[in-house]
Amino acid sequence: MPVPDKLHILIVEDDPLIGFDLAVELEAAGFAVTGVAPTVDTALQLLERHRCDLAVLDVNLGRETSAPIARALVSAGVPFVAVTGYSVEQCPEEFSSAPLLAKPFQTARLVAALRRQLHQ
Amino acid sequence: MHGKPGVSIAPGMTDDEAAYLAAIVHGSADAILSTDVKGVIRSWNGSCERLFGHTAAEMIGSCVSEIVPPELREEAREIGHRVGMGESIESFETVRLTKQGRPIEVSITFSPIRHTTGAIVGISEIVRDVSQAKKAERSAAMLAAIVASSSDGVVSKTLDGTITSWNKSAERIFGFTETEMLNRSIRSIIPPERQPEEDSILSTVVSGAIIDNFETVRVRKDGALIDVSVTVSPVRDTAGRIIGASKIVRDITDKRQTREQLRTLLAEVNHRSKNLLSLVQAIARQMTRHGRQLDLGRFLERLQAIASNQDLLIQNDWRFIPLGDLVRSQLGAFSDLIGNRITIEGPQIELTPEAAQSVGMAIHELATNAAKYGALSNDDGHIMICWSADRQIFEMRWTEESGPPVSPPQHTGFGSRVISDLVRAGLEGTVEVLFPPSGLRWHLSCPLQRISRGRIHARP
Repeated sequence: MPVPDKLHILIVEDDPLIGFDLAVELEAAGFAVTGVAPTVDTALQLLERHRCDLAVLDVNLGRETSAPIARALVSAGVPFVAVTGYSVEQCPEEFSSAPLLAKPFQTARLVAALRRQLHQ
Repeated sequence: MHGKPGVSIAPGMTDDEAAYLAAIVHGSADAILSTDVKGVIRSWNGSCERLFGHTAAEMIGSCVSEIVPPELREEAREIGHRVGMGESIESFETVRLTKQGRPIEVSITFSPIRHTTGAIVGISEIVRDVSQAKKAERSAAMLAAIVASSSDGVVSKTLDGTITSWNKSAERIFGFTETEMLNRSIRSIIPPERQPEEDSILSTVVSGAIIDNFETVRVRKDGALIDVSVTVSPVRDTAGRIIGASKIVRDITDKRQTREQLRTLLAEVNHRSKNLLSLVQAIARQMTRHGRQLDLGRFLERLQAIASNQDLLIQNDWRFIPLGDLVRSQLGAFSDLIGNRITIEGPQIELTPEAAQSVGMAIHELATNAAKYGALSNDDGHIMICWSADRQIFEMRWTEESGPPVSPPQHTGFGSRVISDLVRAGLEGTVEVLFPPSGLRWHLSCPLQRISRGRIHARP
Protein backbone atom coordinates (compact mmCIF):
# COMPACT_ATOMS: atom_id res chain seq x y z
CA MET A 1 0.00 0.00 0.00
CA PRO A 2 1.57 3.29 -1.06
CA VAL A 3 2.42 5.49 1.86
CA PRO A 4 1.21 9.04 1.28
CA ASP A 5 4.18 11.28 0.74
CA LYS A 6 4.93 13.38 3.81
CA LEU A 7 5.53 17.08 3.40
CA HIS A 8 9.08 18.05 4.26
CA ILE A 9 9.31 21.07 6.48
CA LEU A 10 12.31 23.21 7.41
CA ILE A 11 12.32 24.73 10.89
CA VAL A 12 14.37 27.87 11.43
CA GLU A 13 14.69 28.64 15.15
CA ASP A 14 17.70 29.64 17.22
CA ASP A 15 16.43 28.50 20.63
CA PRO A 16 17.37 24.80 20.81
CA LEU A 17 14.55 23.62 23.04
CA ILE A 18 11.86 25.57 21.19
CA GLY A 19 13.20 24.22 17.89
CA PHE A 20 13.32 20.72 19.31
CA ASP A 21 9.78 20.98 20.63
CA LEU A 22 8.56 22.31 17.29
CA ALA A 23 10.24 19.42 15.43
CA VAL A 24 8.59 16.87 17.69
CA GLU A 25 5.22 18.57 17.36
CA LEU A 26 5.37 18.82 13.58
CA GLU A 27 6.46 15.22 13.27
CA ALA A 28 3.51 14.24 15.38
CA ALA A 29 1.33 16.31 13.05
CA GLY A 30 2.49 14.22 10.10
CA PHE A 31 5.33 16.27 8.64
CA ALA A 32 8.84 15.09 7.90
CA VAL A 33 11.29 17.55 9.44
CA THR A 34 14.14 18.44 7.08
CA GLY A 35 16.00 19.96 9.99
CA VAL A 36 16.11 22.63 12.66
CA ALA A 37 18.41 25.46 11.51
CA PRO A 38 19.56 27.97 14.11
CA THR A 39 21.33 30.30 11.67
CA VAL A 40 20.83 31.78 8.21
CA ASP A 41 23.83 29.84 6.87
CA THR A 42 22.62 26.47 8.15
CA ALA A 43 19.12 27.15 6.85
CA LEU A 44 20.33 28.10 3.38
CA GLN A 45 22.50 24.99 3.27
CA LEU A 46 19.61 22.74 4.24
CA LEU A 47 17.40 24.47 1.68
CA GLU A 48 19.95 23.86 -1.02
CA ARG A 49 20.69 20.21 -0.24
CA HIS A 50 17.40 18.76 0.92
CA ARG A 51 13.79 18.61 -0.06
CA CYS A 52 11.85 21.42 1.43
CA ASP A 53 8.11 21.83 0.78
CA LEU A 54 7.32 24.23 3.58
CA ALA A 55 9.08 26.27 6.23
CA VAL A 56 8.55 27.81 9.65
CA LEU A 57 10.74 30.84 10.27
CA ASP A 58 11.54 32.50 13.55
CA VAL A 59 12.00 36.11 12.49
CA ASN A 60 14.78 36.81 14.98
CA LEU A 61 17.77 34.53 15.20
CA GLY A 62 19.84 36.15 17.92
CA ARG A 63 22.33 38.30 16.03
CA GLU A 64 20.55 38.22 12.69
CA THR A 65 17.04 38.09 11.27
CA SER A 66 15.87 35.27 9.01
CA ALA A 67 15.03 37.79 6.25
CA PRO A 68 17.63 36.31 3.85
CA ILE A 69 15.98 32.92 4.29
CA ALA A 70 12.57 34.44 3.59
CA ARG A 71 13.94 35.90 0.37
CA ALA A 72 15.43 32.56 -0.66
CA LEU A 73 12.16 30.77 0.09
CA VAL A 74 10.20 33.27 -1.99
CA SER A 75 12.57 32.80 -4.93
CA ALA A 76 12.35 29.03 -4.58
CA GLY A 77 8.57 29.24 -4.40
CA VAL A 78 8.48 27.57 -0.98
CA PRO A 79 5.54 28.75 1.16
CA PHE A 80 6.33 29.62 4.76
CA VAL A 81 4.87 30.90 8.02
CA ALA A 82 6.78 33.34 10.21
CA VAL A 83 6.77 33.30 14.00
CA THR A 84 8.02 35.99 16.33
CA GLY A 85 8.22 37.28 19.88
CA TYR A 86 8.25 40.85 18.60
CA SER A 87 5.24 42.79 17.41
CA VAL A 88 4.20 42.82 13.75
CA GLU A 89 5.52 46.34 13.03
CA GLN A 90 8.97 45.33 14.16
CA CYS A 91 9.48 42.63 11.50
CA PRO A 92 11.53 43.29 8.33
CA GLU A 93 9.58 43.84 5.15
CA GLU A 94 10.49 40.43 3.73
CA PHE A 95 7.84 39.09 6.09
CA SER A 96 5.08 41.47 5.10
CA SER A 97 3.31 39.00 2.85
CA ALA A 98 3.68 35.87 4.98
CA PRO A 99 1.33 35.00 7.81
CA LEU A 100 2.89 35.93 11.15
CA LEU A 101 2.23 34.00 14.36
CA ALA A 102 2.98 35.40 17.78
CA LYS A 103 4.95 33.25 20.20
CA PRO A 104 3.94 31.17 22.03
CA PHE A 105 1.44 29.54 19.68
CA GLN A 106 -0.56 26.35 19.57
CA THR A 107 0.74 23.75 17.14
CA ALA A 108 -2.72 23.39 15.62
CA ARG A 109 -2.68 27.07 14.63
CA LEU A 110 0.72 26.71 13.03
CA VAL A 111 -0.31 23.62 11.10
CA ALA A 112 -3.49 25.32 9.89
CA ALA A 113 -1.51 28.35 8.72
CA LEU A 114 1.02 26.09 6.97
CA ARG A 115 -1.69 24.18 5.11
CA ARG A 116 -3.34 27.46 4.05
CA GLN A 117 -0.03 28.69 2.64
CA LEU A 118 0.43 25.40 0.79
CA HIS A 119 -2.88 25.68 -0.95
CA GLN A 120 -2.26 29.19 -2.27
CA MET B 1 6.67 131.76 42.26
CA HIS B 2 7.45 131.83 45.96
CA GLY B 3 10.37 134.02 46.69
CA LYS B 4 11.44 137.60 46.47
CA PRO B 5 8.57 139.38 44.80
CA GLY B 6 9.13 141.86 42.09
CA VAL B 7 12.58 140.70 41.12
CA SER B 8 12.82 141.19 37.38
CA ILE B 9 15.73 139.53 35.81
CA ALA B 10 14.91 140.33 32.21
CA PRO B 11 15.05 144.00 31.10
CA GLY B 12 11.87 145.62 30.05
CA MET B 13 9.65 142.86 31.43
CA THR B 14 6.43 144.11 32.87
CA ASP B 15 5.09 142.87 36.15
CA ASP B 16 2.33 141.08 34.22
CA GLU B 17 4.79 139.25 32.04
CA ALA B 18 6.85 138.34 35.06
CA ALA B 19 3.77 137.11 36.87
CA TYR B 20 2.82 135.06 33.80
CA LEU B 21 6.23 133.31 33.70
CA ALA B 22 6.01 132.77 37.46
CA ALA B 23 2.64 131.08 37.00
CA ILE B 24 4.13 128.70 34.46
CA VAL B 25 6.78 127.58 36.91
CA HIS B 26 4.32 127.45 39.79
CA GLY B 27 1.80 125.31 37.90
CA SER B 28 4.32 123.05 36.19
CA ALA B 29 3.98 119.34 36.75
CA ASP B 30 7.78 119.14 36.84
CA ALA B 31 9.49 119.88 40.12
CA ILE B 32 11.41 123.10 39.55
CA LEU B 33 13.71 124.65 42.14
CA SER B 34 16.45 127.20 42.04
CA THR B 35 19.46 128.00 44.18
CA ASP B 36 22.07 130.71 44.33
CA VAL B 37 25.59 129.83 43.23
CA LYS B 38 26.38 128.65 46.75
CA GLY B 39 23.43 126.20 46.81
CA VAL B 40 21.01 128.16 49.00
CA ILE B 41 17.45 127.54 47.82
CA ARG B 42 15.73 130.60 46.38
CA SER B 43 12.62 129.00 44.87
CA TRP B 44 10.63 125.79 45.34
CA ASN B 45 7.50 125.11 43.28
CA GLY B 46 4.37 123.13 44.14
CA SER B 47 5.64 120.00 42.41
CA CYS B 48 8.79 120.16 44.56
CA GLU B 49 6.57 120.13 47.60
CA ARG B 50 4.76 117.07 46.28
CA LEU B 51 7.92 115.27 45.22
CA PHE B 52 10.09 115.96 48.26
CA GLY B 53 7.54 116.58 51.00
CA HIS B 54 9.20 119.81 52.26
CA THR B 55 7.13 122.98 51.87
CA ALA B 56 8.56 126.07 50.19
CA ALA B 57 8.61 127.84 53.55
CA GLU B 58 10.77 125.05 54.96
CA MET B 59 13.20 125.01 52.06
CA ILE B 60 13.70 128.59 50.97
CA GLY B 61 16.85 129.83 52.58
CA SER B 62 18.07 126.29 53.34
CA CYS B 63 20.91 124.54 51.57
CA VAL B 64 20.01 122.26 48.69
CA SER B 65 22.27 119.58 50.21
CA GLU B 66 19.36 118.76 52.51
CA ILE B 67 17.82 116.74 49.72
CA VAL B 68 21.14 115.24 48.62
CA PRO B 69 22.18 111.86 50.08
CA PRO B 70 25.47 112.22 52.01
CA GLU B 71 27.47 110.05 49.63
CA LEU B 72 26.40 112.18 46.67
CA ARG B 73 27.20 115.60 48.15
CA GLU B 74 30.58 115.74 46.56
CA GLU B 75 28.97 115.05 43.20
CA ALA B 76 26.33 117.75 43.82
CA ARG B 77 29.03 120.29 44.78
CA GLU B 78 30.93 119.54 41.59
CA ILE B 79 27.80 120.01 39.50
CA GLY B 80 27.05 123.23 41.29
CA HIS B 81 30.54 124.41 40.42
CA ARG B 82 30.25 123.45 36.73
CA VAL B 83 26.85 125.04 36.27
CA GLY B 84 28.12 128.06 38.14
CA MET B 85 30.73 128.36 35.40
CA GLY B 86 28.01 128.41 32.75
CA GLU B 87 27.54 124.73 31.84
CA SER B 88 24.08 123.26 31.30
CA ILE B 89 23.66 119.65 32.33
CA GLU B 90 20.70 117.76 30.90
CA SER B 91 18.96 114.71 32.26
CA PHE B 92 21.54 113.92 34.88
CA GLU B 93 20.50 110.73 36.64
CA THR B 94 21.11 110.72 40.34
CA VAL B 95 19.37 110.19 43.68
CA ARG B 96 17.73 112.68 46.02
CA LEU B 97 16.05 112.33 49.43
CA THR B 98 12.47 113.06 50.47
CA LYS B 99 11.59 114.72 53.78
CA GLN B 100 11.23 111.17 55.26
CA GLY B 101 14.74 110.37 54.14
CA ARG B 102 13.55 107.97 51.43
CA PRO B 103 15.83 108.00 48.40
CA ILE B 104 14.24 108.58 44.99
CA GLU B 105 15.81 108.06 41.60
CA VAL B 106 15.65 111.30 39.66
CA SER B 107 16.76 112.87 36.42
CA ILE B 108 17.76 116.55 36.81
CA THR B 109 18.37 119.20 34.19
CA PHE B 110 20.61 121.98 35.60
CA SER B 111 20.78 125.39 33.95
CA PRO B 112 22.65 128.57 34.97
CA ILE B 113 20.46 131.59 35.76
CA ARG B 114 21.97 134.72 34.17
CA HIS B 115 21.49 138.31 35.12
CA THR B 116 21.00 140.76 32.29
CA THR B 117 24.62 141.61 32.78
CA GLY B 118 25.53 138.06 31.86
CA ALA B 119 26.72 137.16 35.32
CA ILE B 120 25.53 133.86 36.70
CA VAL B 121 23.44 134.49 39.75
CA GLY B 122 21.99 131.05 40.35
CA ILE B 123 21.16 127.53 39.23
CA SER B 124 17.78 126.19 38.17
CA GLU B 125 17.00 122.49 38.55
CA ILE B 126 14.15 120.70 36.84
CA VAL B 127 13.77 117.41 38.69
CA ARG B 128 11.97 114.40 37.25
CA ASP B 129 11.10 111.33 39.30
CA VAL B 130 12.33 108.40 37.20
CA SER B 131 11.84 105.61 39.74
CA GLN B 132 9.07 103.96 37.73
CA ALA B 133 11.04 104.23 34.54
CA LYS B 134 14.13 102.87 36.31
CA LYS B 135 12.13 99.99 37.69
CA ALA B 136 10.85 99.16 34.24
CA GLU B 137 14.39 99.47 32.90
CA ARG B 138 15.74 97.08 35.55
CA SER B 139 12.88 94.67 34.86
CA ALA B 140 13.63 94.75 31.17
CA ALA B 141 17.36 94.28 31.86
CA MET B 142 16.61 91.26 34.04
CA LEU B 143 14.41 89.71 31.39
CA ALA B 144 17.06 90.39 28.80
CA ALA B 145 19.61 88.67 31.04
CA ILE B 146 17.29 85.71 31.43
CA VAL B 147 16.88 85.43 27.68
CA ALA B 148 20.60 85.88 27.11
CA SER B 149 21.57 83.21 29.62
CA SER B 150 18.77 80.78 28.84
CA SER B 151 20.02 77.43 27.68
CA ASP B 152 17.04 77.26 25.33
CA GLY B 153 17.18 79.20 22.11
CA VAL B 154 14.96 82.29 22.32
CA VAL B 155 14.03 83.90 19.03
CA SER B 156 11.55 86.63 18.26
CA LYS B 157 10.08 87.46 14.90
CA THR B 158 7.55 89.75 13.26
CA LEU B 159 4.30 88.43 11.84
CA ASP B 160 5.87 87.92 8.45
CA GLY B 161 8.56 85.73 9.95
CA THR B 162 11.41 88.24 10.00
CA ILE B 163 13.75 87.56 12.90
CA THR B 164 14.04 90.42 15.37
CA SER B 165 16.05 88.75 18.11
CA TRP B 166 18.32 85.69 18.36
CA ASN B 167 19.95 84.75 21.65
CA LYS B 168 23.26 82.99 22.39
CA SER B 169 21.64 79.60 22.75
CA ALA B 170 19.93 79.99 19.39
CA GLU B 171 23.42 80.60 17.99
CA ARG B 172 24.63 77.44 19.65
CA ILE B 173 21.69 75.30 18.55
CA PHE B 174 21.53 76.49 14.96
CA GLY B 175 25.09 77.57 14.28
CA PHE B 176 23.96 80.95 12.89
CA THR B 177 25.17 84.07 14.70
CA GLU B 178 22.84 86.87 15.74
CA THR B 179 24.24 89.08 13.01
CA GLU B 180 23.55 86.44 10.38
CA MET B 181 19.97 85.93 11.47
CA LEU B 182 18.63 89.38 12.32
CA ASN B 183 16.25 90.54 9.62
CA ARG B 184 16.37 87.19 7.87
CA SER B 185 13.30 85.04 7.54
CA ILE B 186 12.73 82.28 10.11
CA ARG B 187 12.03 80.03 7.14
CA SER B 188 15.76 79.70 6.56
CA ILE B 189 15.96 77.23 9.45
CA ILE B 190 12.87 75.28 8.40
CA PRO B 191 13.43 72.28 6.10
CA PRO B 192 11.61 72.57 2.74
CA GLU B 193 9.04 69.88 3.45
CA ARG B 194 8.09 71.55 6.74
CA GLN B 195 7.59 75.09 5.41
CA PRO B 196 3.78 74.77 5.77
CA GLU B 197 4.38 74.48 9.54
CA GLU B 198 5.43 78.12 9.69
CA ASP B 199 2.14 79.15 8.12
CA SER B 200 0.11 77.25 10.69
CA ILE B 201 2.34 78.52 13.52
CA LEU B 202 1.77 82.11 12.41
CA SER B 203 -1.97 81.69 12.07
CA THR B 204 -2.16 80.13 15.56
CA VAL B 205 -0.15 83.00 17.03
CA VAL B 206 -2.19 85.64 15.25
CA SER B 207 -5.32 84.19 16.84
CA GLY B 208 -3.66 84.81 20.20
CA ALA B 209 -3.05 81.18 21.10
CA ILE B 210 0.19 79.65 22.34
CA ILE B 211 1.88 76.64 20.75
CA ASP B 212 3.29 74.51 23.51
CA ASN B 213 6.17 72.03 23.04
CA PHE B 214 5.58 71.29 19.42
CA GLU B 215 8.11 68.63 18.36
CA THR B 216 9.50 69.08 14.91
CA VAL B 217 12.69 69.22 12.84
CA ARG B 218 14.82 72.24 11.96
CA VAL B 219 17.96 72.84 9.92
CA ARG B 220 21.35 73.94 11.26
CA LYS B 221 23.75 76.20 9.41
CA ASP B 222 25.79 73.14 8.37
CA GLY B 223 22.67 71.60 6.80
CA ALA B 224 22.22 68.96 9.50
CA LEU B 225 18.68 68.26 10.66
CA ILE B 226 17.98 68.51 14.38
CA ASP B 227 15.03 67.35 16.46
CA VAL B 228 13.60 70.29 18.41
CA SER B 229 10.72 71.20 20.66
CA VAL B 230 9.24 74.64 20.00
CA THR B 231 7.02 76.85 22.16
CA VAL B 232 5.61 79.93 20.44
CA SER B 233 3.79 82.84 22.09
CA PRO B 234 2.34 86.03 20.64
CA VAL B 235 4.11 89.32 21.38
CA ARG B 236 1.81 92.30 21.88
CA ASP B 237 2.38 96.04 21.79
CA THR B 238 1.14 98.35 24.55
CA ALA B 239 -2.22 98.56 22.83
CA GLY B 240 -2.56 94.78 23.02
CA ARG B 241 -2.21 94.20 19.30
CA ILE B 242 -0.19 91.16 18.23
CA ILE B 243 2.92 92.41 16.50
CA GLY B 244 5.05 89.29 16.39
CA ALA B 245 5.91 86.03 18.08
CA SER B 246 8.56 84.74 20.43
CA LYS B 247 9.84 81.19 20.05
CA ILE B 248 11.62 79.05 22.59
CA VAL B 249 13.54 76.29 20.87
CA ARG B 250 14.95 73.28 22.65
CA ASP B 251 17.26 70.72 21.07
CA ILE B 252 15.67 67.36 21.89
CA THR B 253 18.04 65.11 19.94
CA ASP B 254 19.18 63.43 23.17
CA LYS B 255 15.66 63.01 24.46
CA ARG B 256 14.55 61.45 21.18
CA GLN B 257 17.52 59.08 21.16
CA THR B 258 16.76 58.01 24.71
CA ARG B 259 13.13 57.40 23.79
CA GLU B 260 14.17 55.22 20.87
CA GLN B 261 16.62 53.29 22.97
CA LEU B 262 13.85 52.65 25.48
CA ARG B 263 11.51 51.51 22.74
CA THR B 264 14.14 49.11 21.44
CA LEU B 265 14.83 47.87 24.94
CA LEU B 266 11.15 47.26 25.66
CA ALA B 267 10.72 45.40 22.38
CA GLU B 268 13.68 43.28 23.40
CA VAL B 269 12.18 42.58 26.82
CA ASN B 270 8.92 41.62 25.15
CA HIS B 271 10.75 39.31 22.77
CA ARG B 272 12.68 37.59 25.53
CA SER B 273 9.56 37.15 27.63
CA LYS B 274 7.73 35.56 24.72
CA ASN B 275 10.67 33.24 24.17
CA LEU B 276 10.67 32.17 27.79
CA LEU B 277 6.95 31.45 27.61
CA SER B 278 7.56 29.38 24.51
CA LEU B 279 10.25 27.52 26.40
CA VAL B 280 7.91 26.73 29.28
CA GLN B 281 5.31 25.58 26.78
CA ALA B 282 7.89 23.37 25.09
CA ILE B 283 8.93 21.72 28.35
CA ALA B 284 5.36 21.12 29.48
CA ARG B 285 4.42 19.77 26.11
CA GLN B 286 7.40 17.45 25.80
CA MET B 287 6.95 16.16 29.33
CA THR B 288 3.37 15.14 28.61
CA ARG B 289 3.78 13.44 25.27
CA HIS B 290 2.10 10.12 24.72
CA GLY B 291 -0.53 10.90 27.28
CA ARG B 292 1.91 11.17 30.21
CA GLN B 293 0.76 13.01 33.29
CA LEU B 294 2.70 16.10 34.15
CA ASP B 295 5.17 15.42 36.95
CA LEU B 296 4.78 18.81 38.56
CA GLY B 297 7.88 18.48 40.74
CA ARG B 298 10.12 17.71 37.77
CA PHE B 299 8.44 20.42 35.73
CA LEU B 300 9.18 23.02 38.37
CA GLU B 301 12.75 21.77 38.77
CA ARG B 302 13.29 22.18 35.05
CA LEU B 303 11.86 25.71 35.17
CA GLN B 304 14.27 26.43 38.00
CA ALA B 305 17.12 25.16 35.85
CA ILE B 306 16.09 27.61 33.14
CA ALA B 307 15.86 30.40 35.71
CA SER B 308 19.38 29.66 36.96
CA ASN B 309 20.62 29.90 33.40
CA GLN B 310 18.93 33.28 33.10
CA ASP B 311 20.68 34.54 36.22
CA LEU B 312 24.06 33.56 34.83
CA LEU B 313 23.24 35.17 31.50
CA ILE B 314 22.22 38.41 33.16
CA GLN B 315 25.41 38.45 35.25
CA ASN B 316 27.30 38.43 32.00
CA ASP B 317 25.21 41.09 30.25
CA TRP B 318 23.29 38.51 28.30
CA ARG B 319 26.34 37.82 26.19
CA PHE B 320 27.67 34.46 27.35
CA ILE B 321 27.87 32.03 30.26
CA PRO B 322 31.21 30.62 31.47
CA LEU B 323 31.02 26.83 31.31
CA GLY B 324 32.45 26.31 34.79
CA ASP B 325 29.80 28.59 36.31
CA LEU B 326 27.10 26.82 34.31
CA VAL B 327 28.08 23.38 35.55
CA ARG B 328 28.27 24.53 39.18
CA SER B 329 24.92 26.29 38.89
CA GLN B 330 23.12 23.30 37.35
CA LEU B 331 24.53 20.90 39.93
CA GLY B 332 22.46 22.90 42.37
CA ALA B 333 22.62 21.51 45.88
CA PHE B 334 25.17 18.96 44.74
CA SER B 335 27.70 21.68 44.07
CA ASP B 336 28.72 21.17 47.71
CA LEU B 337 30.18 17.87 46.63
CA ILE B 338 32.57 19.46 44.17
CA GLY B 339 36.14 18.59 45.04
CA ASN B 340 34.86 15.60 46.95
CA ARG B 341 32.43 13.31 45.16
CA ILE B 342 32.26 15.46 42.10
CA THR B 343 35.31 16.51 40.12
CA ILE B 344 35.24 19.29 37.59
CA GLU B 345 38.05 19.88 35.14
CA GLY B 346 38.37 21.97 32.04
CA PRO B 347 39.38 25.35 30.66
CA GLN B 348 37.10 28.34 31.10
CA ILE B 349 34.96 28.58 27.96
CA GLU B 350 32.35 31.24 27.32
CA LEU B 351 29.20 29.59 26.00
CA THR B 352 26.69 31.33 23.76
CA PRO B 353 23.25 31.73 25.36
CA GLU B 354 21.80 29.04 23.06
CA ALA B 355 24.60 26.54 23.74
CA ALA B 356 24.32 27.31 27.46
CA GLN B 357 20.67 26.36 27.37
CA SER B 358 21.32 22.95 25.78
CA VAL B 359 24.34 22.11 27.90
CA GLY B 360 22.77 23.54 31.06
CA MET B 361 19.63 21.47 30.67
CA ALA B 362 21.69 18.38 29.93
CA ILE B 363 23.75 18.87 33.10
CA HIS B 364 20.55 19.39 35.07
CA GLU B 365 19.07 16.14 33.72
CA LEU B 366 22.28 14.21 34.30
CA ALA B 367 22.52 15.49 37.87
CA THR B 368 18.86 14.72 38.61
CA ASN B 369 19.29 11.27 37.15
CA ALA B 370 22.47 10.67 39.17
CA ALA B 371 20.65 11.65 42.35
CA LYS B 372 17.75 9.32 41.66
CA TYR B 373 19.47 6.26 40.19
CA GLY B 374 23.15 6.97 39.72
CA ALA B 375 26.35 7.93 41.47
CA LEU B 376 24.71 10.42 43.82
CA SER B 377 22.02 8.05 45.00
CA ASN B 378 24.36 6.14 47.34
CA ASP B 379 27.18 7.21 49.66
CA ASP B 380 30.17 6.19 47.55
CA GLY B 381 29.38 7.21 44.04
CA HIS B 382 31.61 9.67 42.21
CA ILE B 383 31.14 11.86 39.15
CA MET B 384 33.86 13.22 36.88
CA ILE B 385 32.87 16.16 34.70
CA CYS B 386 35.53 17.30 32.25
CA TRP B 387 35.80 19.11 28.99
CA SER B 388 38.38 20.30 26.48
CA ALA B 389 38.70 22.50 23.45
CA ASP B 390 41.43 21.36 21.08
CA ARG B 391 41.76 22.20 17.41
CA GLN B 392 38.29 23.71 17.18
CA ILE B 393 36.56 20.64 18.60
CA PHE B 394 34.76 20.78 21.92
CA GLU B 395 34.50 17.61 23.97
CA MET B 396 32.68 17.11 27.25
CA ARG B 397 32.29 14.05 29.39
CA TRP B 398 30.16 13.08 32.37
CA THR B 399 31.42 9.85 33.91
CA GLU B 400 29.81 8.15 36.91
CA GLU B 401 31.46 5.50 39.07
CA SER B 402 30.82 3.48 42.17
CA GLY B 403 27.15 4.13 42.09
CA PRO B 404 24.56 1.37 42.17
CA PRO B 405 24.68 -0.91 39.12
CA VAL B 406 23.01 0.68 36.11
CA SER B 407 21.27 -0.54 32.99
CA PRO B 408 19.90 1.32 29.98
CA PRO B 409 16.54 2.99 30.72
CA GLN B 410 13.36 1.38 29.46
CA HIS B 411 11.72 4.37 27.86
CA THR B 412 12.93 7.67 26.61
CA GLY B 413 11.38 10.34 28.74
CA PHE B 414 11.93 14.05 28.32
CA GLY B 415 15.16 13.85 30.31
CA SER B 416 16.81 11.32 28.05
CA ARG B 417 15.76 13.27 24.98
CA VAL B 418 17.31 16.40 26.46
CA ILE B 419 20.73 14.87 27.07
CA SER B 420 20.84 13.31 23.62
CA ASP B 421 18.59 14.64 20.85
CA LEU B 422 18.36 18.20 22.11
CA VAL B 423 22.09 18.61 22.62
CA ARG B 424 22.87 16.85 19.36
CA ALA B 425 20.50 19.02 17.35
CA GLY B 426 21.34 22.27 19.09
CA LEU B 427 25.11 21.93 18.80
CA GLU B 428 25.34 19.94 15.54
CA GLY B 429 27.53 17.43 17.24
CA THR B 430 27.53 13.84 18.38
CA VAL B 431 26.30 12.59 21.72
CA GLU B 432 26.98 9.19 23.11
CA VAL B 433 25.13 7.93 26.18
CA LEU B 434 26.38 4.63 27.54
CA PHE B 435 25.26 2.53 30.48
CA PRO B 436 28.12 0.23 31.39
CA PRO B 437 27.63 -1.47 34.79
CA SER B 438 30.15 0.90 36.40
CA GLY B 439 27.95 3.87 35.75
CA LEU B 440 26.46 6.22 33.18
CA ARG B 441 28.81 7.79 30.64
CA TRP B 442 27.82 10.80 28.63
CA HIS B 443 30.07 12.16 25.90
CA LEU B 444 29.43 15.21 23.77
CA SER B 445 31.55 16.27 20.82
CA CYS B 446 30.82 19.25 18.60
CA PRO B 447 32.49 22.05 16.62
CA LEU B 448 33.87 24.67 19.01
CA GLN B 449 32.25 27.49 17.11
CA ARG B 450 28.77 26.01 17.75
CA ILE B 451 29.31 26.37 21.45
CA SER B 452 31.37 29.46 21.92
CA ARG B 453 32.19 32.73 20.22
CA GLY B 454 34.51 33.89 22.90
CA ARG B 455 37.92 33.40 24.39
CA ILE B 456 39.11 30.30 26.13
CA HIS B 457 41.16 30.59 29.29
CA ALA B 458 43.32 27.84 30.72
CA ARG B 459 42.07 28.46 34.27
CA PRO B 460 38.76 26.62 34.86
